[in-house]
Amino acid sequence: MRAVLRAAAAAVRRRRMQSLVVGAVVLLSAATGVLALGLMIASSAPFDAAFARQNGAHAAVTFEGGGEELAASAERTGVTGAAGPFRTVDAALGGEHGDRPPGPVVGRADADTTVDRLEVTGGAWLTGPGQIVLSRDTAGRGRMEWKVGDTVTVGDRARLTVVGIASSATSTAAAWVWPGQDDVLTGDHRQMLYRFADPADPDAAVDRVTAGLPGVGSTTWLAVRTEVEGVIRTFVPFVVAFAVLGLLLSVLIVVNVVAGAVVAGFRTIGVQKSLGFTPAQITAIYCGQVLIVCVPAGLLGVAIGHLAAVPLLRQTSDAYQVTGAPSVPLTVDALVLAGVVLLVTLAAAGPALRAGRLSAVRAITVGRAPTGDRGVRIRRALAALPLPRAIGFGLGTPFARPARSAVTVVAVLLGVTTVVFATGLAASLTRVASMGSRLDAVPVRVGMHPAGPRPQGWAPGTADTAAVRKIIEAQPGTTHVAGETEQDTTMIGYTEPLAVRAYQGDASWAGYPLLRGRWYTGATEAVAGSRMLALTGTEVGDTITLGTGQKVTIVGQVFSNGSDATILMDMAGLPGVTPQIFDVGLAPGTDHRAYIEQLRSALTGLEADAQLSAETQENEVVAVMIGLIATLTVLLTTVAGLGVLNTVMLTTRERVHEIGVLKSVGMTPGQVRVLVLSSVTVIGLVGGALAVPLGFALHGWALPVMAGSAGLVLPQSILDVYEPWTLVALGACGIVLAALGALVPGSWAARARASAALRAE
Amino acid sequence: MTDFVRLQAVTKHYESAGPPALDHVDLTVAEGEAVAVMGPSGSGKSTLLNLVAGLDRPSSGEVVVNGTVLNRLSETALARHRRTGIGIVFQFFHLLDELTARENVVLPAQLAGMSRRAALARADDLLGSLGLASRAGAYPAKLSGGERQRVAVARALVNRPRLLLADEPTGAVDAAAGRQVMELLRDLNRGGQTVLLVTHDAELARGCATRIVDVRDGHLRERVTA
Repeated sequence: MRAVLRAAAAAVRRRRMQSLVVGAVVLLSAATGVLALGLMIASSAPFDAAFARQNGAHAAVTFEGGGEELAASAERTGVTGAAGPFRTVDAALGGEHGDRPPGPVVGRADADTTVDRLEVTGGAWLTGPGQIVLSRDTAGRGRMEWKVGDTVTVGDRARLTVVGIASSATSTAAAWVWPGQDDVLTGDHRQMLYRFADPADPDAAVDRVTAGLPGVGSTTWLAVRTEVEGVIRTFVPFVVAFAVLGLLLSVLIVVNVVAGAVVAGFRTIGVQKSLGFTPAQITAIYCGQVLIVCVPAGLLGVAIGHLAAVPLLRQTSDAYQVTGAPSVPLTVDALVLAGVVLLVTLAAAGPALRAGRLSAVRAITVGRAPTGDRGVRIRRALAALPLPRAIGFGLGTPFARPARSAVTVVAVLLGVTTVVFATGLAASLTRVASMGSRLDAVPVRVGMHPAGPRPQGWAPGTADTAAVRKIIEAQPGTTHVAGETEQDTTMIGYTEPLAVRAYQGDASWAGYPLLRGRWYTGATEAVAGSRMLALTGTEVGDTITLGTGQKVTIVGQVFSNGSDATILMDMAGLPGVTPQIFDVGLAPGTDHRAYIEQLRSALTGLEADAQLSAETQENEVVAVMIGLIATLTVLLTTVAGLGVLNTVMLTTRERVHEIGVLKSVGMTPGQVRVLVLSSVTVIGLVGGALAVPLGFALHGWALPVMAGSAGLVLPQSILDVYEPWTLVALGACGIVLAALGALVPGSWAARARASAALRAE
Repeated sequence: MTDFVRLQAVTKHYESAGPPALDHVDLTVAEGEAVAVMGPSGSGKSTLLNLVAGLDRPSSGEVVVNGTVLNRLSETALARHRRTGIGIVFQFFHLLDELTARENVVLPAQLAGMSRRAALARADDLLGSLGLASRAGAYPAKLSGGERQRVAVARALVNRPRLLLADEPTGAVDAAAGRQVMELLRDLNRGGQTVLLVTHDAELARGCATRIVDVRDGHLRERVTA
């Protein structure tokens, strides 16, 4: 065993470049593997744990009216558990530590119900009227936190004492009061909490269970989980794609390195066998030289992936007050490490077994150079072409070792696929950010507040919005003006806040790509962002009831990349609301900075501040994603390039004698470089050409999945980012990648002493 | 006669700690001469040939060929020097398997920039004069040892080099083919070709060299030819 280990360690030392390539690719695969699997599992882990502990509700359904039949719905087919009916009302809470947006306040006597067992994390549960228990979100944090013993006002109707803080995995309420708290629980809404036999499609289950009942809205566990996971899940598809590409590269490179090592070490194998090494020991030597590198590299990669996931996971753990730093479970680390090690061992096993089976005599007598006449006809045909000699010879090289060339083609293919995929992804995400910020449509925004720091005692809503609007409209270059305000409200049946962005005047020009339906007209219509439809289970054509009691029909779906459920509607539908901001559209060719200067001058004396949208908008998530994509792309293409380098180095070393002959008859070092670079041209061309459709398809798959994870539907313009010339240029990256990989071996061959090369066998 | 090749105090070390392959060697070869360097295996004779060919560089001393100090040339300049000034015949022929006999001969001419047509014409002339006209389209694998070596000689001569180097040219062929090669080298020399031959075959050296030097343990010793 010691002899095997010594031989394997010696092989690693002897093949430092190959060992470095294997180490790099294994490290990268392990890191992306942990990141992908970790994000996938750990992003929902706090939610899943709390949901299981609390026997969380698969759906919280709000009914308008109803009595005995609501309780009876618990017996319907497909329902495995239920709690309620509980009286509920949407109400805003206010108190010493600020106000909270409206949310559902539910009358509930027990925390420990069969479904949605609430966890009281502070104080105690309700014992009677006059008390309120707050959800963790409603209680808030820091200086604005409400604590046990504080007094809060509910909807200006009742003053209640906070007796406890509780958490519900599926956020079934913002606060809970005693069921007999009639001054709070006004109205006729009831909440039922259900668990289903088939929770995978909770919307369909809700439809079945509430058929014939006066249901007005629901919140499903999947919607809450999507909300809790936030944007993390959107990272998963592309990180998974990079991880798979990395793993494939690992396997390919390991196969190539070990196969190359076996071929290059034929004589050594023969000598080792003649010294008494058994076939199993020979196999172990070749597997061992990969494992010696891959185990530490895998460990390091796992550690890097583990650490990289922490900042991304922090937001979900914050939502559940998980103590300590959030991290990927150690089982994931162990699983990925084991998987990577197993995979590369299996990849090494094929050529290693071949080494083990090789007869000693054959091993000693066979040289390193390609044996037989593989590809000789093609090589002869290429050599006979009226091309410069160096190019003709180079083009024929890949045909001497077709299997190795095929592996190199795949390495180039994977590298270029990564580039094509990443380029498209970055372009799409940039468009998402640009479209989401609406910079093109709304280059200027005028905030209804004084420029600079707010004066003492200043409160919003004191500015003369009509006067500001007139000034903006009168400004040369202005084409559109729309007053905008955004506020959180509730939607009956949906337990999370609903963001309402209300516009004064036409806002159909304001940069919201319409995906379905039409733009709203009048105060009773709205268009919804895709995330709102996904989270609330609402469809275009549905009518929703806002917390104010107003009914609004969703007539269209727009692209909006915000993280909240958002609807857009006319400000006339929200009485007493005035614009907080004016969105301004400009005529083409308008100098934005000059426009801003003139407008600021015109607004002097009014509490309004004009700013370029570009200076106020940024999308941190997209920036993080693009940064991560760029990093992974650089790493993967580097590894692919190293893979090419490794192959070309093996081939060049094998052909060193031939290169010596060519040098002896006058081939210059420059021509030798051309020869080596030509040898990868076809490989680069084929790899690049195959990679373009693959990267294109990967982008077409990953982006909608990423968007779907975030509850978004993307307009086609975000997917159509590849221009024909871009694809051609990206395909040409194959040649560039292959050429870069061949540079070092080319230089080595050019520098090689002809006399030494001629001595080589 | 002028010195065409001059080695002055040439030393070659392959390993800094080990003994030199050549130790302060002086040698001159006049234009039109045929010099045979003889010695046992490992004596340094092939090293000497490699230095003259510019395939390797001396550790110290000076190698001058046709007035050019090879030590000072870049690798590219050395390659050009080999292309036009020198032809080399190797023991194991070193023909390229994927090229026909004619293509092998044409190769140095094309590297030297000769047009394909002119190169082919020159190759056919050479192959014809060496009795290989009918074998011009054959690949090396289909040629006998003697035929391969004659193709190698043709390749070495295609650019009309003023110096022909031969490294054990009969070492890998049978006796009959060896005699053919010897006669070929002798005829070439009689036609004015300068030849520097490395061999341990005394018959070959006697048969075609005008002067013989012995090399042993890195040192040269002039031998008086019969």
